[in-house]
Amino acid sequence: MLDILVQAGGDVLALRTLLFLLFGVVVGLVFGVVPGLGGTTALAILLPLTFGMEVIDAFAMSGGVMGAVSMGGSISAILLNAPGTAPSAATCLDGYPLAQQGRAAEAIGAVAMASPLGGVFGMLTLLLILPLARDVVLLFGPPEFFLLAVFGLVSIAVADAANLLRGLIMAGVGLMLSFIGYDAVNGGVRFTFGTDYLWDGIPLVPALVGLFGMAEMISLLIKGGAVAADASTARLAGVVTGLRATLRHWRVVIRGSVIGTIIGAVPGVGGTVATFIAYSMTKNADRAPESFGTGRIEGVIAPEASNNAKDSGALLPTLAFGIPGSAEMAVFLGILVLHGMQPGPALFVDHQREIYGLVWALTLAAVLASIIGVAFVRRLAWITMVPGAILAPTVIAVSLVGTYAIESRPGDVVLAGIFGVLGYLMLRLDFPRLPLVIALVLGETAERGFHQSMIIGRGEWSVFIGSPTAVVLVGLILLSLVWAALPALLRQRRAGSGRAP
Amino acid sequence: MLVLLVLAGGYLLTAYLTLDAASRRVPALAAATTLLLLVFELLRSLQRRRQRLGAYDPVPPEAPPRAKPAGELAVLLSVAAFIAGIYLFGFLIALPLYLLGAIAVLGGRSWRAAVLAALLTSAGVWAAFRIVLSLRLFPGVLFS
Repeated sequence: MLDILVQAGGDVLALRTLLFLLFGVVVGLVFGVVPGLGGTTALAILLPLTFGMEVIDAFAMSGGVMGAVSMGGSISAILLNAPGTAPSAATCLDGYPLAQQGRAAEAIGAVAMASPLGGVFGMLTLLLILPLARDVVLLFGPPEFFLLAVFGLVSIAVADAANLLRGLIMAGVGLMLSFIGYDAVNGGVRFTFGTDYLWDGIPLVPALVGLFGMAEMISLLIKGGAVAADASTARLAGVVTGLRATLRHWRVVIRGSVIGTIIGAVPGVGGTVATFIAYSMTKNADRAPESFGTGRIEGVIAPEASNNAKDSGALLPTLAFGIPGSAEMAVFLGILVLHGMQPGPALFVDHQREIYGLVWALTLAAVLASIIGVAFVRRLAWITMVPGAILAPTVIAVSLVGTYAIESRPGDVVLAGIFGVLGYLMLRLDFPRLPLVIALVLGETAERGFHQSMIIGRGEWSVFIGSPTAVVLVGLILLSLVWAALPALLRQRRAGSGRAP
Repeated sequence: MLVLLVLAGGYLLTAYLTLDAASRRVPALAAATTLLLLVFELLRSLQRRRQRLGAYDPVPPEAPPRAKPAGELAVLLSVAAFIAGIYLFGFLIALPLYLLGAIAVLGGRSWRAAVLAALLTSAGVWAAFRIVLSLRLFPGVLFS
């Protein structure tokens, strides 16, 4: 393992790959700084560009984006109180008060140290677990894969408890879309309405570019104005104080990293939950919890360490089972598929070197992002001032060209446009987009697992509780549903008893 | 919601009319479950609306601010026109025209800024895809 790890490190450090990594880091920082864009949009836009690249270059570029976007998101969270990415929202709580006290640089220094430390912690954990992932995957047969796909869908759909029903509806819509095209189990084509283009099903890349990249840009164009109004608070003095403070609070870094790695591995829970849990646990463990929210540096360190560690956690279910832990990972799955790599046990055998290369890229990206972020903090903050009227059409145009470039099919451009409008309408009407994407990815796995299980079980449904792993998964699915529905049911019951005379 | 309801119903109907039992099993299950969830959501929305009307508060307190419909429609139509333009005339004609229109007309920026952005982006796209990646940009069905 060690020799492959070293070889993979050499691959990433090759000049061309390093340049792609650097490009990914810069894009990640830029997209992280601009609220509303984020890593998912950046990856979705860059995804078509990875076509034709060497696998390691594509991994380096996407690793660069994933590793850097949290740093960018935290810069705008601290300077503008506008988190560039959703997980950076927890950094606003103490980061912005620090900026208001004239200690913005100290907070950014803390981010610059806590982010790579969290990233390195997550990567080390991933490296320790990856060799075991193969054995774990062998516990999974068709019934378990079907149940895992259902668990992935349910846990993502119920992640937003306030929008539980809509999440489940969107998962259903995604599943329905995933069945369009050639039926690999029974032969024949379904729901194509005579269109040859749909024989291979809904292509993932145009769908992702539309749902995330284009939808956000359409929204920005409609809202008008720039993303932020004032970027004048970015000053560099005091960064070193923040760097030192992070090292002094090493326990906070470890706590945040552990929380990020564990929560990141659960599909659907996502980085935002991880950062807020890391923040609240640090606050509760402190002797003066009431002082949090007024500008405590630990309130910046904990969510930041968690934010970067969660990427490694999210990689586990993505690589081992093909179940993306987050929207970002769903797009990354698209990159894997684009390069002919199928997630699962074989991935760790056939592409071990590339996987370790990705691990290196993520770690290096976190370090590079911190250095670049600190050096260019003031200029990065100005990106939020680019008028939406210029930024949005440009990004829409470039992403459509990139979508076409993958397979040179004009149909992909049309599909990206349709998904763009659909994504915007979902955004506007408060329908979650992630369950739809995850269902689109998992639909085929679920259907194949279902049919194979029924053949193995000779039509008996008991095949789905035929092994300890399957029983655990059924339990997890039920638990997720009950856990998500419980608060609403309790609220309804309380309201009912309150109304009774 | 009603649109989704009709689409899911149509999907289920198509599955029963065009597919054999084995092929439609999982898609029909997904469509039927989605239909059921949609009905629940629709009933819930109706109940909420009734409660609001009962409380003489026709506007929900937490309703998000709505975008101006005219601007929204114009932006969505511009995206549709851009895609139609790509299909008919290809990227090299549709791209600068869309950028000009979107930046100057929809965005209300100066024509100078729009021309500059359109030229720079088009040149950048052409250089990146045609020269660096050696990919042929779609010329449009009218010029193919």
